This record gives sequence, C-alpha cells and structure tokens, in this order.
Amino acid sequence: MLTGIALLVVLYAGALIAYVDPHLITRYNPDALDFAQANSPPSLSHLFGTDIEGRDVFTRVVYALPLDSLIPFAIVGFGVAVGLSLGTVAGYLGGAVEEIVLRVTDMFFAFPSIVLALAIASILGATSHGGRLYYSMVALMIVSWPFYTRLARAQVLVLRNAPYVKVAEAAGYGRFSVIRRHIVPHILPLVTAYASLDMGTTLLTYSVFAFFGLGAQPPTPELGRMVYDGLNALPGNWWWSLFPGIVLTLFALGFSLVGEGLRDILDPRLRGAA
Amino acid sequence: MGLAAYISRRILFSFFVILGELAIVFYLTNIAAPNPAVIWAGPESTQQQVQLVTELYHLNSPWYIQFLYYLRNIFTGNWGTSPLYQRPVLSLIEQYLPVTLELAIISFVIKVLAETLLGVVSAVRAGGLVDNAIKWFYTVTRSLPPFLLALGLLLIFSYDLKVLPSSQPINPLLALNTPAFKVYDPFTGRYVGFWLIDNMPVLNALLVGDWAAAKSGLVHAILPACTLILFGFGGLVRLIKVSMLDALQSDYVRTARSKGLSERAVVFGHALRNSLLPATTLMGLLFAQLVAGSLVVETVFDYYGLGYYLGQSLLTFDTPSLIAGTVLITTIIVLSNLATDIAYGVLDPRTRV
Repeated sequence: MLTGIALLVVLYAGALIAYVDPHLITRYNPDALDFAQANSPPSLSHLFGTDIEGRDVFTRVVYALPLDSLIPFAIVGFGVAVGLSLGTVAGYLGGAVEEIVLRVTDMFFAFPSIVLALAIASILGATSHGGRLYYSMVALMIVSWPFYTRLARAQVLVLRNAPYVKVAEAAGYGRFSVIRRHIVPHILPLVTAYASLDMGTTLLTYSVFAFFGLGAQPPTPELGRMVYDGLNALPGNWWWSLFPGIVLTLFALGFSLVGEGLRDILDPRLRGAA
Repeated sequence: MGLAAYISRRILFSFFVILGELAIVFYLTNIAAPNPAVIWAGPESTQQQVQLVTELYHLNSPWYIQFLYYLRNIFTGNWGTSPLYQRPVLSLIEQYLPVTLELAIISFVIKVLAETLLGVVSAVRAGGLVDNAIKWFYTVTRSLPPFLLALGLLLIFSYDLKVLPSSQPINPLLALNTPAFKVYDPFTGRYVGFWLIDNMPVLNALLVGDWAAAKSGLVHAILPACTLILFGFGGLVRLIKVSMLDALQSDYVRTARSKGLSERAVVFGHALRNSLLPATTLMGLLFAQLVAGSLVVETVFDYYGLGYYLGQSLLTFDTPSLIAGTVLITTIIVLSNLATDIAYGVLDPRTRV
C-alpha cells in the first residue's frame, strides 16, 4: 500500500507540475515537429525517444498527465456520487423507493459494461469527431454507478439499526440529515477503497477505447491513445508505445495497490489474503 | 421463495436485461444516424435500394415502431444485411460466434485450473516468498493496458521467437470444408448442419478426425487464450486463498492430519474440496469476463470470431452488425450471470430474493 501511495503521489505531483508549468520538467513543445530528429531512439536529449514527426515522446507523456489523472476521477467520481446517493436513500427509506431503485440498478449492473460503453461511445461519436473524448467518458459514467448503489445499500442495511443512528432519529433529526451526517460518513471509507480499485481499471478501460478510434483524438496527448498510435510502429520503434504504456501501468498499479490496501484494512473478511 | 420460483424470476429478469440493452443500443443508433436507410442499405446503394430498405424496415416510423419491427425480424431470422460484408448478419454470426465460444471455453478451463492451483499454493505457503511472488505477478499483470499485454505477447512469441502464429483461428490452408454435422437434406435440397459445432475450428476438426487441422487450430489459439487468461488474472486466486486459509485451520483438516494422511491428501482432498464451493459462484463471472475480453483479444490477433466482428463493426459503423454483435455478447454474458445466480440460489438459500 505504501508503494501504491508513493506511486500516486509522484504521478499526481507530476500531473500538477505539468498543468501549472510543464517547462519545469521538459524543454520541448509537445506539438513541435522536428523532422531532423524524427524516429530517434531514447537518448539523453530525448529520454523516451521521438516519434515519426520528431515530437518528443517524454514531453507528450508529461502533457498527457493532467488529462489522464483526471479521467478516472471524473468517471469514478460520477459513479460514486450517483451510486452513493441512490444506494443510501434506497437502503434507508426502504419500501417502494428501494424496490424501484434496486430493479433499475440490477438492470444496469447486468449490462456488460465495456461492451455497452463501447457501443454508446461509438454511436455517439459517429457524428462528432471532437466530442469523442467526452462521449467516451460519458459512456463509462453511464455504466459506472450501479456497483456503488449496491455497495452503499448493503452497508446501509447494516447501519440502519446501529444504536447511534437510532439515537440520531430519536433526537429528531430529519431523514436526509441522518443519511448525510450519520450514515454516509461511515460508508465512505469502504466506498473509497473500492473506488480506488475501480479507478485503475477505468483508466485501462479508457485506453481500450483508443483502440476503436474513440477516446481522445490526436493531437491531444493522452496515454492510451499514444500507446495505440505507437502500436503500428512495433516491433521497430518500440519506444512510442512502451513508455506511455509504462506510465499508464504505474497509474493503474498505484490505484490498485492503494485500493487493495484500504480494502484489507476495512473489510476484515479478506484480511490476510493480500 | 422456492427454488423454481427463484430461477424463473431470474430467467424473466435476464430476458428484460437483454431487451433493455437492445432498446438502448437501437435507440442510440437511431438518433445518431443522420440517415438510417443508407446505413441499413449500405453506402453504395442506389436510390431505389434505399427506398426499398426504408419500406422494409419501416424507417419512416418513430424509433419504437422500428424497434418492434426489428424485434419481429430477429425472431423470424432476418437480422439485416451488413453493408461492410454484403452478407446477412445472421450468416456472419453463424460463422463467428462458435469461434469465440470455443476460444472462451478453452481459456476458461485453463484459467480456472491455473488460478485454483496458484490459490492453493499461496494458501499453503502463505506469507512466504512464493505467495508474494504470485501476488506481485497478478497485481502487475492486472495493471497492464490490455492491448499492450496482447501485443507484447504477440511480439515476443510471434515476431521475435517465431514459434507461434500471429493471426487467424486456423491455418487457412488446413481449414476444413467438411463440417462434422453437415448433411444433405433431401426435402429442402440444401445442406444443413449444426453450425454451432461445425464452425468451431478445433472441435470440428477433432470430430472429423483431421489431426493436422486440429493441431493448427490449437496452436493458433495459444496466444489469444494466454492473453484472455491474463486479463483480470488473480480474482479466483484470491478467493481460493481466502477460503483455503479458513479451511486449513478448521477442525476437519486437523482431524485428517492426525489420521496420518499425507499433506497432499489433506490439502487437495479435504481443504480444497470445501474451498471450491464459494468459487463455483465466480465461474459465471469469469466466463463473462472472457467473452467481453474477446473484443480486444480477437481484434489484436485478427482471430475471426464474434469479438473481431463486433470490433470491426464499431470501427466502420456497420450498424446492423453493431446492434447484433452487442446484443449477442450481452446475451452470453447475461446467461453466464444467470448461471451464477442460479448456482448461488442452489448453494445458498438465503440469496433467493
């Protein structure tokens, strides 16, 4: 878990610097063409080598960091927000509300998320080239929330009869205030653990979208897209896709190590399994 | 709730899930396409053809009316014609679906065996070097971008070492034109067969007895199967390990040990047998994962199955194929989940809600 935290801290610090002032890390322009330097392998002046148009791969990776560090947060954040609200309200209120929410959730939960998301993104992106970056995110958001609804509801069923919740009800707090102040804070840690695990997979799934022409469109630097664009050059110019791929892997590894660490602390059934 | 009622409820629900997904995808293609008639008729169709298709699929009606006609057509065997392949979608599916199923089944068997074995090893050696190595192995594999993993394997084994073929389900020169079940039907005057088996490259070759073709099919399946197995590797390892750790501390294992049974007999005969019960519920999910993963794997390896077909239709906006492929993969996945739910219901009566 410490390894995971260290990885994420380094990557997000890098993303922050890249967002504020990329020239602290790199002296090249991500879109600057330099045909004299095209296709050069990794060296001291070009750490990750250059691509077919002489663009510095390291610089493009740096410029991709802010976007790639936000994608999982946006998608999983949406899923957590929607799932947590629906799940807690359904679990706490019970009755018809719960029944309706659960049936709809079950339905979305049963959809094969990547297949549906790809179909949605592909269809929506068919008419608009520029919107594909966002449509692909929207598509993943649509399939992201059902898991959290189920997780939150299951937790609420346990908490609903906890003494401190009963006390809060007896003290005259309204239903939504009980949910907000006494239930949600207790569910949040476990949800965070699963969200962290989810973020790694989400980023990887998003990189699959590039393979089908969705997701970020060139020349926007995005790691998944860079891996995909480099694939055509394999096995010759391996540095085009290998380095963005490694950075992507480090992101996913960081999220999954942190998530597993948190889950083992919070979910005693799994303790010792990691 | 009784078991029969529970199962029939799950089946009904699965049916609605498939219908729901079909409706969503159909609706989206409908609003996204500027001129649906051209899509259904093909890009190089004449004005007359477009007119014909418009009438055939009722494309001037609102989308839900079109959807009802589409549903009726699905049951009567008209799934539309793919503009990309210029062939009926149904015949394409007959060709591609069995290939994917065969690959998924092969990968499934190997994956379950391998993960179970690793789970047992890491439980027996819990906390040791081997346990840690296994943990790091699957943590890192899971974090690799899917197609980088696929291409890595492709480059190493196919281009560098040149030991394994890089594409296609079978060597085209060895591909069989003699399906195992195909027979001449004197009444209709057509050759009919059991396409689900006839189009499985390895199984069909085995049934016909053509060993060269069977071997070629298996060799071509190695790389795609390995990639599928490594996608999301470790879930079952983890589950087996948790329940094995529990089982190894239980009374019946202590009794078995004190009877003087060998360690192997204790671990595999007693502890593992009881740990497999919770794992059975994960099987449906695993199979569903393999089928969903075929989308990437088959596209990378040009393995001509359902995943490849759907991938191509996504890339070329081949709408009839896109709808059919999405719904078919959904159906397989929903059925796997249904199997999981039923297994749960049979094994654990508390879940029958």
